[in-house]
This record gives sequence, C-alpha cells and structure tokens, in this order.
Amino acid sequence: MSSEISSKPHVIDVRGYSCPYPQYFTMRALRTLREDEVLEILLDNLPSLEIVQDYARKHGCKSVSAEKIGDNVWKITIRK
Amino acid sequence: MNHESDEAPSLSMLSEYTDEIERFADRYALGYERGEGSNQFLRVKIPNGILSTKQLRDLAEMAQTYGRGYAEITTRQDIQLHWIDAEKALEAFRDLERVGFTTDKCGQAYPGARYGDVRNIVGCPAAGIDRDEIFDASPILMKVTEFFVGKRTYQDLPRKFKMSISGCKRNCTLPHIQDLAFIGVKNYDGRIGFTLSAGGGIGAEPKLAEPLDIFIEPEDALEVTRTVVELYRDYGPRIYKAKARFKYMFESWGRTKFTAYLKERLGGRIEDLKVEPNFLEGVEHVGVNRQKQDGKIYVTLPILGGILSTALMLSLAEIAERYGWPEVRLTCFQNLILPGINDNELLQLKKELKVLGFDLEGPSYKWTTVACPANFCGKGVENTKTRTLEIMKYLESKMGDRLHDLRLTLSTSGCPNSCARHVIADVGLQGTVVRRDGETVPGYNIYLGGGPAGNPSIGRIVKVGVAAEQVKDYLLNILSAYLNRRVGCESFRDFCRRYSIEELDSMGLQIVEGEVN
Repeated sequence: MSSEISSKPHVIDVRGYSCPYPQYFTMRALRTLREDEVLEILLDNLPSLEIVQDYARKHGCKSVSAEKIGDNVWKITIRK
Repeated sequence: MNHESDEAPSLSMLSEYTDEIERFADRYALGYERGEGSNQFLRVKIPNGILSTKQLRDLAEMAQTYGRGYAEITTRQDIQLHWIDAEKALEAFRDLERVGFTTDKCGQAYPGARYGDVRNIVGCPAAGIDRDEIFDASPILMKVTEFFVGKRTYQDLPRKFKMSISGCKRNCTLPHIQDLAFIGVKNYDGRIGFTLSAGGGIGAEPKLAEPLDIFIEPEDALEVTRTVVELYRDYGPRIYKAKARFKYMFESWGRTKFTAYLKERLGGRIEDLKVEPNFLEGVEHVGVNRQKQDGKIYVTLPILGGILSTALMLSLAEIAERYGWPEVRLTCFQNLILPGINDNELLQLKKELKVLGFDLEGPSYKWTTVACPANFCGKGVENTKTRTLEIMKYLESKMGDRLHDLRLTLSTSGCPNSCARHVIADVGLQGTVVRRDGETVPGYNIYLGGGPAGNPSIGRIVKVGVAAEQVKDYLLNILSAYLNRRVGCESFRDFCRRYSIEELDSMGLQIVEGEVN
C-alpha cells in the first residue's frame, strides 16, 4: 500500500459469503486502511449488512452508510 | 473473496487472509439470531447423531470457550452453541475442524432463493444396535454426507435441503417430513435396500412426503441423492424464497413425473417396490432397550429441549465410557443415547443418572416432547422450553400415574416455522401473541391430532390464541377427556379424529377438577 492516503475508495466484494466472513474481511481491511480512507463492501448476506455496520461504528469509523445497489446486493461505505 | 475493483487501490495483506477464509468458507458458517443477547450461533452437524466421547468432551470445551458453557441438541441431531463472537469465529472453526465436524451453511439469511445446502442428514440413532432394525444404514449415510461436505457446487441450492437415511423400523427420523427420505425395506424377494419418499416439509405450509414405491440397492443411495440434489439445484424454483423449497418443486412435478425422471436418469437401478414398508407405530427409542449384541442394552436419556451444559456433557462422556461404549448418540427428539451398556449394570447406572437428574421411569412423552430455541432465534414470543417444562410438571402434578397411559408427542414451536414440528405432533403448540385485558401477552395456537408415526397426518388447529398461562389447563382438559372417553386402546390421534374441532375445543375449555380421576 502506498504511504499516500488514497482518494479512491477501496472495494471488497464479498458476495456469496455468509456470516461471519463479510465481517472478517471488513475487520481485516479496516486494519490496513489509514484514517479518512474509504472502504466499500459489496455483499448479499442480509445479516452481515447489519453486523458489518455495527462493527464499523463500534470501532470508531467516522461514517458508515449502506445502500441497496441491485437485486439483493448492498454496498456499505465506511470512512475510517 | 471475489476480486477487488480494478479502479480501487489494492488491499495488500487481504489476499493472504483470503486463503485462510477460503479454507473454511465451504464447510463452516455462523447462523444469525437475535435473542438472549446472542447474535450468532454455531450449528455443528453430527452425521447420524453419532459422536465419540472424545468428541463430546471437545464440544463441551468449545461450549465453554465460545458459548457460555451451554449447548443444545437440535431436532436434526446437531449440537448448537450460542453467543458465538464473530471475531472469534475462525478460532472456533479451527477447533471444530480438529474435532472432525462441520456446520450448517446457514444460507437462509440470504433474502433470495440462493445459498441453500444439504443439511445434517438424519439417521436412526440406534443404527447397528437396535434389534428390530432392517439394516444398519449409517455407513451409507456417512458416505452421502462425506460426498457433499465442502463442495461449493452443491452450496447454492434454491433453499436448504433436508434428508433422512435410515434402516430402522421406527419412524425415528420422521421420513415423511423430509425433502428426500431413504427408508430401509426388505423387498418381495428378500433383498434389503431402500424405498424412497419425497416432497415433505413443514413450516408455515406443511406437506407430507409421498411414497415413491420404488426400491434401490443401498449402494445406489449416493447416486440417487446426487441426482435429486442436482435436479433441485438446476431446475428448482428461484423466483420467490418462500416458494423455493423442494416440496414445492415436487408438488409441481408430481410423483409420477419425478419417479419417471429418476428411472430415466438412473436406469435399472430404480426398481418397483413390491411390498408395503412395515413401520412400527413408535417414533423415538424410548427408555431402555436391548441391543442386537448379546448382553448389551442402550439407554435413551430424556433431555427436554436438548439442553446441555459443559458440565453435563463431560459427566455423560465419563459415564458412557465407564458403563458402555466410548460414544453417544443424539436423536431427532433431542435426546441422548448411551450405547453398549452391560445389562447387569443397569441398576447402578440408573442410580448415577438419577444424580444427574435423569429419571428413566415415567410417561413416555418425556422422550417424545420437543421444543425449539425460540428464545434465541428472536422470532418466538417467549422461551418455549421453559414453558413446555412448566406444562409437563403441571400435567404430572394433576394427572399423576394416569399420564403413564398416554402415548403422545408434544411439540412446542415459537413461531409458524415449526422448528419443533408442532404440526405433526399429537399435541402441537405454536407461539403467537394474544390480547388480554388490553395488553399483548405470549400465547399459543393449539394443534391436535397430528401424527409422526404409522399413517402420518398433519394436526388440526383447534384453538387460536390461548394465553400462555392458560395452555396447561387447556391441555389438562383435553388429555383428561381423552383418558375418560377413549374407546379401548384408541390412540390420542384417532380420538382427535373422531371429534370435530368445535367438540375438541369444548373439551379443552371444560372445568376439569372433577374429571381427572
């Protein structure tokens, strides 16, 4: 990873994974991000939609939001 | 993990992490729940319900480490742990891999008709030891289970797929509510094999499986299973999740078309069955039974709701090793069997079991009562296991020895999903909410006259919305009326069939103090 803060979001696509894997990928990805960098997670597991957002909020991320972007597909956007 | 966007910066380190997750992702998952402060559960598949005492000890330790020392036997012979911390899930998966088990994939959390898997295949818990069995089908079950473990190509079925494989004469695996059931049978010419039934399922729209009147050799069970699962995967309904279970596909196809498909695909391996399967009336392996091995008995411990603790699991492992074989078996009625006991040590064993709280005397419905984990899943209105225990104690206090005359199944589910199979119980309770004095309180809809054995049937809903506190009196009235009015050896189910819903309800509402004796 570059030492520069990326202006583009990092994207991980965890469609097809059930609990707890979307959370795991998110946890790990957030560890690699710098403050103010943005992580986008594409997922299709509904419980993970809630759990991933809860995790990010509990761990001090600056903003957390989610939107439905397709048939049973969501995008969570997290700013660390 | 799927590839990252070409536009996005790479996340180094993640690929290494992905490898470890990929190792587990097709065999292990957590389920989602919202009750008792638990967000996720771990449902450990125990094929045929058979596990060694070492595995029981290992799971007891896992329950202690990850699940507050609590575990439950499910109605599909799994062991389920709650309060699993998602951040420790990979550690739990590593531990479980060492124990030698996998989990359900729990794809029901997906909102569409995808990610269904083959659930724990249930088998007779007394396979290989029961004196009445047609044959020991557990090796076949293990082979079929092994085939599906970890294969991604079978993990995107429209919904979950439920099976039984049993050579038992009892209905202990409830074949008529499975998507696909292999039922041990002796054909007209003396050959041992399986006949099949298909299209069963309960839930909010229960359907009993239909017999296919075919015969297959035991070694063809895997190929038949594979053919049916692939048919469901490739052509099963995927438009609406609620209508995506195999039972709807089977209903749409019909028995004739489905059987013809199997014959076309599998050729001469599908023969006509020329005898009637001869089931015993019983369901569970109740109490103490002689084994086919001389001098040996197996003992089924009644465990209401399948509730275990780490301490109890460790104690049972120790007792199993000291008195019998180093293994235990889990039943579809949430009970636990100690096999290989020397018959001359039964009295001493009973004394030790009594210290642990197990009484092998008493009415048989102690062994045939099941309750779902409604308090954990979040869909139920209250703790069904606690309520069921309260009802049983009440009935015992009011009816005493007369309860011993009852041969019935009692099932309590917290919601219409019927996880405790209430729709096919003699007495089925389904949780709901009722208005009482202007307030909403837990209650139950009461189903009567279902039957999981013999000629199976779906119960009729006799009363909607009885407040939970009043259910025990309603049931006391009904059961007392049955004991007083039954004709000869009439079963409870036949008794219920003899009366209309209105008549049964009027019995339930009677004042019974004078009618019990």
